[in-house]
Amino acid sequence: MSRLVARVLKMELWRGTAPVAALSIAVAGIATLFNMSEYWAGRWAPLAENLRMILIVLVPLAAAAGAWQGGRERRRRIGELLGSTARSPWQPLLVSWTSVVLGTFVGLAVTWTAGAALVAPVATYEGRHWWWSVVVAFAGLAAASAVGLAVGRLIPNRLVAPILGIVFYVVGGVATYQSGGTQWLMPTVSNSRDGASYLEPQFQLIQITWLLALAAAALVVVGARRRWLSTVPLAVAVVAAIPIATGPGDGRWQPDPQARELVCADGEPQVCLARVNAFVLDDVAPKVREMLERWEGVSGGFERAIDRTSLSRDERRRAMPGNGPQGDEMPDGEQDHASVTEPGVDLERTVVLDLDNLISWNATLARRSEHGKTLELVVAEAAREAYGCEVGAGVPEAAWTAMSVARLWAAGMSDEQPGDGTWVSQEETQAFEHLRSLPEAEQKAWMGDYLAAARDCDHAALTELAGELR
Amino acid sequence: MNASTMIGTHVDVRDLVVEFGKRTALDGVDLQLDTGVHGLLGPNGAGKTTLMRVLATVARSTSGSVSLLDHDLSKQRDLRMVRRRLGYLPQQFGYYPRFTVREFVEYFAWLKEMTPSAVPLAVDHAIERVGLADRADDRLKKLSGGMLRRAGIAQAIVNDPDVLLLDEPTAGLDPEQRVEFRELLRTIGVDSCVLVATHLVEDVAVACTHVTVVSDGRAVFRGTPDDLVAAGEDTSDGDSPIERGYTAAIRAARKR
Amino acid sequence: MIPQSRPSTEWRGNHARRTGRRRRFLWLHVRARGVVLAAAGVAAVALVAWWAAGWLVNLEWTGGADARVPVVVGAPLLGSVLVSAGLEGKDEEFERSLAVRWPVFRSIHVAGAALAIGAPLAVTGLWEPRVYGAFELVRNTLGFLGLVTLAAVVVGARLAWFLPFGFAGVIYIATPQPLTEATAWWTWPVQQWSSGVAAWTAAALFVVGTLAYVVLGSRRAHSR
Ligand SMILES: Nc1ncnc2c1ncn2[C@@H]1O[C@H](COP(=O)(O)OP(=O)(O)OP(=O)(O)O)[C@@H](O)[C@H]1O
Ligand SMILES: [Mg+2]
Repeated sequence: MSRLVARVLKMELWRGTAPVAALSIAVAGIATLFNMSEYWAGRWAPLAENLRMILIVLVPLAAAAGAWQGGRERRRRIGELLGSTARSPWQPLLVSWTSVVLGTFVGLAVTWTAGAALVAPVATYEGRHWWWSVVVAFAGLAAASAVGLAVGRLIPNRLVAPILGIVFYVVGGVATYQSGGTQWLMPTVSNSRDGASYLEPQFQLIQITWLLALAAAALVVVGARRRWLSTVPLAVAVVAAIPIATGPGDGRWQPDPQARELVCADGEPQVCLARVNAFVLDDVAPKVREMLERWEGVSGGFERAIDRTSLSRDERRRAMPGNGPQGDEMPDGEQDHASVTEPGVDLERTVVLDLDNLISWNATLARRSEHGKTLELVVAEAAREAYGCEVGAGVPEAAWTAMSVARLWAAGMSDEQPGDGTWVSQEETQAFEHLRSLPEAEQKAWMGDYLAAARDCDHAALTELAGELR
Repeated sequence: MNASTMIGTHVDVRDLVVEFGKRTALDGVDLQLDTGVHGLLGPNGAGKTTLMRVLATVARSTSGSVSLLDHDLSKQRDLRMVRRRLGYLPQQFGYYPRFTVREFVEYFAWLKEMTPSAVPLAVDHAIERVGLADRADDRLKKLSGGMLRRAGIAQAIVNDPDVLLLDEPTAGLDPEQRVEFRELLRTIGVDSCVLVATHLVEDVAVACTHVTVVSDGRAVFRGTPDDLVAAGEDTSDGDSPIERGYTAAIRAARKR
Repeated sequence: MIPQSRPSTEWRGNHARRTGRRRRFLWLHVRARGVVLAAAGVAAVALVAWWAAGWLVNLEWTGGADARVPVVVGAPLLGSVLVSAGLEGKDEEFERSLAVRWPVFRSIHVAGAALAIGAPLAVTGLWEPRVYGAFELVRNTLGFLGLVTLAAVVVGARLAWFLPFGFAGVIYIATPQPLTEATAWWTWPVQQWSSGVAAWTAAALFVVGTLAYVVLGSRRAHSR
């Protein structure tokens, strides 16, 4: 690139749409990324996944910026002057596009860097192939701005930019509603995988090919004198799109065994988190141990806690009350992975920690999540999850009461409501008060009986246990 | 760089016809121009701008042949050679308001495929020639109407064009600027072909070496400014000798 | 001048000529401001919104009315972006120099825009259940129009689309979940109708924007 071209590019960068694009993408990007910081704080791969998620707002911005830049010649009525110059039109077009792309890239890079600054000091797992995800995000902005530029050139109206932005927004939204492979045609990712899964680099390379070929086709259509030349990149785009669209949807996610590997805190009882979440282990372990202490002396009580992220799908299902959703599959279509828990570990006496939402932006344990969840409630959930039958209309009222009381006991609640959206009825509170008023040994005996009955799905016994507290 | 000595005819237009749908804007124009400053006069709608646009390679002729600098404009490959040697200031001058004068001129130097190493000097020189040196780093949107016009002229002359087409360049220039501008035209006209469309007959009288009057899409008069003065000796309509000549030329054409 | 002394026929003829001229001026004004194109756009938006809302709600796994939020935000946004260009003439300075009572024209303009977007959207939004339907569509129409008119006063109508566009883009994803009344003053476009704060904010935006625009008009562009 000659110095003259560099200077022309610099002019376009400062005088064109690029600064506005960079600023709006950085502002929108940071606002949206940090609004959901609990999903990625301290973790590299989830940062990349969430960067892809917020593309649902950034891609429309890039498209609008491209369209605005593309309409400039017409808005400024300068076509006449440009038409009398020697340079082939594709060159100024390319410089113009490059300036917008660089603007959007700066915006996205600022966004990612702001996130990375919070991740880098604390991350406990370097992640797998997530940088490809970041590259796809950049390629997505490049494609969006190219398509925007082309549309802005072709349609003579100043409102093309916002309207195209909104259209891109709608298309992006619809894409995330798709469960099949077509969702991957947009650079957006519909939901985060908490860093426990990754996308194959080959697949992401195909995505990059598709996006860049699309960009090239758009640019050739408006830039080249021989428009039919655009069929070449278009053909490449179609060839890349076919395996994407016809391939699996959520099944593209591959389990990452390293990320799910258990990292345990020193000492007893055992508290282990998946490697990807291990940066909060020091915060989590003491609190969880304190709560596990409560179970000492309860027959069949819980004696260890492990991260839900590490469980295989089958194990997760077993850990759920009533052994998980019946009939249909687990919501995530991702591929299963082998168990990482040691053979012979008794999952029945293990608390499953679901740290979703519980990590605050500075990568420490949040006291209470946006939804009102606390670590205490998460640990206490194990008491309810012990219930082994199908959850549904057939469960007697008394069994619900028993489960609720057991949970409150495990959480060490006093009179207040849990505050996580679950509601404790008057009757349950009274039963819980009753339990607390008993001597400690009797409390633990009741809990032991409860666990045995719940695991056996013994409704008669549960009803009786609830009756004892009336 | 200057190849003007080897060029046969700078502008060679033969039987040029341009139609917009049913309306005929140019109706068989013949025109041969060499170095010097050529004035293009004519009433509103006569076809001056249309002729300029054809010569600037932005409008297509319906029939007839046009060649610039010995290159036929109908050939795609020749077009590029011609455009490098062309300077054009349209009547409707569009610009990017956020660019500075220097950036705007430099941008066009790039578009005209000038040798990169020659660009910085050429840009400064062009801006100086139109008297905008002290405003070179101002944004275009901050300039007055006349200054904008001068920035447009700077952009047109930055590549030392062999053919310079200026469509009403003096509209909006103050008297002092117009005097300087005529001087500029004379200097450029020494070894280039300058074609100036204008309504200011005095400009033509002072600055031009040749005059062409168009009316209703035809070239109705060709000659020197003195010839035009001579043509008007019989009439009294007009305040100056050359205005009388212009009026006479148009009248004669309408009678025919 | 004494009215009785004037022959009534001539008076009537004069009147007719005057209204005729006014009608012609209005028609020119409508054409100059691109009203026809904007109206066609709004009609298209209403139709697409109607279809999209049905499609979204009937997707097998979406959770009922909540699925309509994109429509409830997107359609009024598109509508107000479409009418934004008409808030200013091609040559605002020239138009202002005309002896026309611009405040009256501007009020008619905004009221017409509100009606032209709000009415078709309200009709297409009469879904069951009522949540995220006609009410929210009308509220958001008013709110976004308020933003458009405010932006027109500050930066000019040509760029006025940027404010509602950017705002909607950010709130749509930056809105804290679950929705609470505490954030309704800035998350009004995604709130349910039952949120009084959201309704009042949108109404206030509309009133303030309209007043500012009626009094001050669109900011004059720099470009000549
Ligand atoms: N794009 C166009 N479409 C249709 N008719 C056109 C177009 N451009 C020019 N004309 C017509 O061609 C004729 C010549 O126009 P032209 O602009 O060349 O006149 P001119 O001599 O430059 O006039 P003026 O002195 O007003 O600038 C006019 O009748 C005009 O209406
Ligand atoms: Mg003209």
